[in-house]
Amino acid sequence: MIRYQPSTVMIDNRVLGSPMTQTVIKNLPDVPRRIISDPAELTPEMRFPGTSITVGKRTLFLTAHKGKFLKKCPGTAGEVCCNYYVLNPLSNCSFECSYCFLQTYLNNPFLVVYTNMEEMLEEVEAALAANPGRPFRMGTGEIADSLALDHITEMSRLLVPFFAAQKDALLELKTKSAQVENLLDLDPKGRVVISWSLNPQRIISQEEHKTASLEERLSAARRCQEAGYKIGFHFDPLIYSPRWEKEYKELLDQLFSVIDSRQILWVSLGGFRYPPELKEVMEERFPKTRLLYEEFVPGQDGKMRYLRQVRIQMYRTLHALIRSRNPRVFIYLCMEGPDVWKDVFGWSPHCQVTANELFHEQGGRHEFF
Amino acid sequence: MQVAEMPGGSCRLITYEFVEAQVDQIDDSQQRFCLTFPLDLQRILRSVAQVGVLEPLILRRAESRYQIVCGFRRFLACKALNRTAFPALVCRDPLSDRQAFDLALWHNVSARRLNDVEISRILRKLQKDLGVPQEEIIRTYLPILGLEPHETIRRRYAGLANLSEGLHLLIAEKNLPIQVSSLFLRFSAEDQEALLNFLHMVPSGVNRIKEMLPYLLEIREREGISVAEFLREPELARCLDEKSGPAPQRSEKAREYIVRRRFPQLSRLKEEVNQKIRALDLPPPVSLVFPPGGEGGKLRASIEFPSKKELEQEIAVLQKLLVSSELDDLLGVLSRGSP
Repeated sequence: MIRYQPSTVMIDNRVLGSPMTQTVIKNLPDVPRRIISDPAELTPEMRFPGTSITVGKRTLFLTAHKGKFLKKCPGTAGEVCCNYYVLNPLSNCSFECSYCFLQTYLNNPFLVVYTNMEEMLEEVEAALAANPGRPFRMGTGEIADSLALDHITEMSRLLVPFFAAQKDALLELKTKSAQVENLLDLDPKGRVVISWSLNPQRIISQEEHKTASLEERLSAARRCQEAGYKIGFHFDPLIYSPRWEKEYKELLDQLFSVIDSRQILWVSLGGFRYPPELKEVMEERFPKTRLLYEEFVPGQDGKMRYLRQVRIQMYRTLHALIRSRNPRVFIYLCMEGPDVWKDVFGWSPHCQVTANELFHEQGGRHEFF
Repeated sequence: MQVAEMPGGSCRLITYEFVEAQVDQIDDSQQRFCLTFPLDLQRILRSVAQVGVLEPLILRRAESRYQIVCGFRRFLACKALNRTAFPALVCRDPLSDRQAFDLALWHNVSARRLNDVEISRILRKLQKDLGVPQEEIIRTYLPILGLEPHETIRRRYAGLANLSEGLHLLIAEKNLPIQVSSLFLRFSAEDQEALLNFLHMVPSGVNRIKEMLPYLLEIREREGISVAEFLREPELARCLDEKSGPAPQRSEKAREYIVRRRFPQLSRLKEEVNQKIRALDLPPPVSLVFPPGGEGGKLRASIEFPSKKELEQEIAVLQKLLVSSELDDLLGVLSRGSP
């Protein structure tokens, strides 16, 4: 894994005094800083392609988030929704996955840390207070990697104790990093799940640049498991190749040789999909990527997906392989419709309430809720 | 006297002397300031033949002779028509290569829209021949060329200069968008030549080229064969054979062959679905259609009717279809390929 080190820290002068800003400055003492008085002055720099995605990521931008931190996961049109909430204290990712949707999703090229963390936590508290008894699952890994910047922000040291004290909330920190040092001496009290996105090492090397190797990820997962965290795994994106079956089987062999499957809270499966506009960016930024050479068809949401028969075959195979190791591991599909759920599992949640309940049952089994 | 504003922030006045220049006074060995591509003389020949050179050429002194700064096409037309002299404006003061180039550039951009090949050649000349730093090219020259001042844009246009003359002609003639023409750079030199021959054999519009180039690149990657090899395949050659029909028909056959190779599973599925649709033997006003690309995993049904009676008949056909096992079979096949 390549640990992120920005070439510049850009600080909105309104957040100079915030604790998060001070933490970042403490952890990056030698990185040049640029104080800006008004984010509007960045407008020309923030326009793509003036500052390319690659160059933009070298700047770590500290500012305050003005809108809502907590949002319902947008899911995708026509697919089963699992009622997940996304928490966005970070925007953009230091890793360089060729397939990353953020390349066409974000409207500025910088790595952004929103320093008004207190407001974010107040917002979470307010949401929980407004819905007493209703369990919430939320995660910071939607438009960022939850742990890739943790050596700089130490954000996990704020989030874990906060969620450990909540009765009805479960936080998921989703990552492709191996940076778990800040987590190990904290007590999550069963309220924090650390999850890893996994792929065979060949795909990690070819497509998930700067991320932790498979071995590093599994070793980090093991350490978290030993430290009392529940863990999750996301086989998402599942990537088709002529060798997919052999490679994913080997990956699962490796996973189950390192991890105690009883401590796995959930596993998700999701075939590689991409919005059509991402293709050009991928070809430009990652000319060696091989992901675009398979057959894709446009779905109802406009995203390009493998043919259904291909996805179902992959899901069924992984489902069977995982279940053969531990029949109780909770497996779900990400961004798939009820018909695909039925073809893979023999049943499907008939609505998002059911999907949500599944997670809560699973949480209950693990004494989360 | 004429005024020219030079890029790079330095404005200077250039004064000219009007002369009747002799063709044999021109040193036409260097064409550094010639920015026009292709140098198509057809129209200018007609014009010069009819009414002579209407606008004086701009020349600079080069020892005892002149070099052309603006007006290559007019000069070539005069030569072709055996004219011995033409009107010209000669810069009184010495003009550096850079100044002359800037003058030619302004002269062109003020009069017409440059094509992408011309832009690529201009960027190449600025960098290679005149040694203008990249940063200055981006900051100063891209806006003059009507482009955003960004490195990615410079790189994209400059790359086109590496393509062959044949591809330059194709790009200019078809006025291909930069997103399409820059795809040629992803092919090897051998593949580019093969592709050029193919595109000459299969007359293709912009949209067809835009569709085909990515498919060919992807077939190369999927199958590990060169595009030149692929384009030599006998089955494709049969599609292109003149005996197999008029040009648009050949072009469509070639397209279908390429699509089948790029999307084998989807093509098989489409063929299977279409076979099953044909087997239903629906009467012509009632039709089922496999949507392009299998989009949505759904069939499209349509009916047409001029009267209630025919509507009733067609509804009856659909009702019969609804309870048939053949429809279940068809939908089962379709669902395998749906998104």
